Amino acid sequence: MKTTPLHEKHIELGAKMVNFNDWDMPIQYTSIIEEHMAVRKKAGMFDVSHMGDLIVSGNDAAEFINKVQTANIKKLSVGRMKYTHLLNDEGKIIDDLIIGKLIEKEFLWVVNAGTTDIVLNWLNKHVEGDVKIKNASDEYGCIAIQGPLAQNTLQKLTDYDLSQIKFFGFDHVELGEKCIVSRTGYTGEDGFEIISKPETTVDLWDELLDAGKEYGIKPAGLGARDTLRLEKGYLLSGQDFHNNRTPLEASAEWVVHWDHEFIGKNILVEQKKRGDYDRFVGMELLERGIPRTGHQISKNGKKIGTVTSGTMSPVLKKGIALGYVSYKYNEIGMDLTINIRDEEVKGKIVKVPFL
Amino acid sequence: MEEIPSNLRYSESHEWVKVENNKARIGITHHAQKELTDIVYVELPKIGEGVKKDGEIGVVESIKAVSEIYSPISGKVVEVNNKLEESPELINKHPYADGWLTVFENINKKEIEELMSAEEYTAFLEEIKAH
Repeated sequence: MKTTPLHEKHIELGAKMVNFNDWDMPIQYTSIIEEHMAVRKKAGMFDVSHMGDLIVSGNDAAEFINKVQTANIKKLSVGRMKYTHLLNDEGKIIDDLIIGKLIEKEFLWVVNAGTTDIVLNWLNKHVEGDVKIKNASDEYGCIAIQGPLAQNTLQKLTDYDLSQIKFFGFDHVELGEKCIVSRTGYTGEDGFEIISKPETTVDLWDELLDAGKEYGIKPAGLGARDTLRLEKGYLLSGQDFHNNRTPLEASAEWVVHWDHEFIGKNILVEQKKRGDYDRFVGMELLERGIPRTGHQISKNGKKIGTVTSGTMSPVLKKGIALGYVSYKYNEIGMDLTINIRDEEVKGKIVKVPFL
Repeated sequence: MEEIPSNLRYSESHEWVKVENNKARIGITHHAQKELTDIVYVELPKIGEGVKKDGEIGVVESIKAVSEIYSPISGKVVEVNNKLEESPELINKHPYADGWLTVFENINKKEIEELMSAEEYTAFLEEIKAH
């Protein structure tokens, strides 16, 4: 199994480790609920070094990037990032990712750990013109510091005024070395992701834990990362889609910029015209129970969809789920049932984010 | 150091049994709740239900995992801990007290004797940890 630069830190902190896409990663340190609530109320820090970092550069880089994903990257300024989807020829999502414009003609791609090689192969297969694609994943570590007190914590380590970094913006900030600090995350809270050399990542981990002590900061594992993103209705690559759903089905039309050409666009145009596609929705249970991946969703005894992600919401203290339902049933407030161990448990479609 | 009361009997699937006159109270061990952590949902057997040794008597769910509970002994369900519906975390807090799951009657003394003593269970846990 692969390990991140912070592997020893996790062991020292007594984390429970799991195999996540062939990475030995902390699922929790003390308690998923405690870690979850620390991020919602104070601050938490995550090791996200397993995520892939690709550098795409060259005179034709912008042209090429525009062709292989849904956002019109030509509108992106240096120092800005964009959440986007990479589609296959059938318009299905291969991966969701963030693209940042480092300098003119040079872009950073942050992709999911489990799909880094798949994305790399896909890009190499479609590359044309003056474009260089480099897998820099091993050269960087990354810490996500998230929560209402994330900025206060990180600010203690630098003279740089962090309030200058806007949502989905980034800058090169001196933190032992010049690190890429972006105001991004996967928790729905304010916070930053800090990309740095592996040695710096290790130093930063300790410094942040120390700086955040007065605010009640906690290291948080993949378990809390999952419940936090679920409460906000964010998609999880490999779970809520895996080459089987389009951005329209994933209720993420906002990532699609219709003003440029990209692989899979013709399928999306056609699908949008027809309108008869499944929709990704949020559901909450009205009775006791916890929806899980694969549970069947029904309306009046008839199957209308499947749960792709579910949990007990630590904040709402009830079962919540994300999943796909037939377009005919895509209506906020609609009653449905979710089959949990052969019992039809009552629930309804609700707006996402759940909170 | 695991908490293992000396007056209970233990199964290899980490349930405990406490004999109370002709009845037996059943729960999951400190080790089991610690492995699960953050228990957020519990399903209990129905009162009056007859249960065989190793039969499923419920489900505990943590945030991440669903775990079936297998009965360490045979018997008939006469009580269930309804407090766990509202407060499943009682199992994490007090696995041997307020976090009990169910009480059986029509119990078989021989089956209970075959379960592990506190010393045997302690050794069993040591062995698991060594692997």
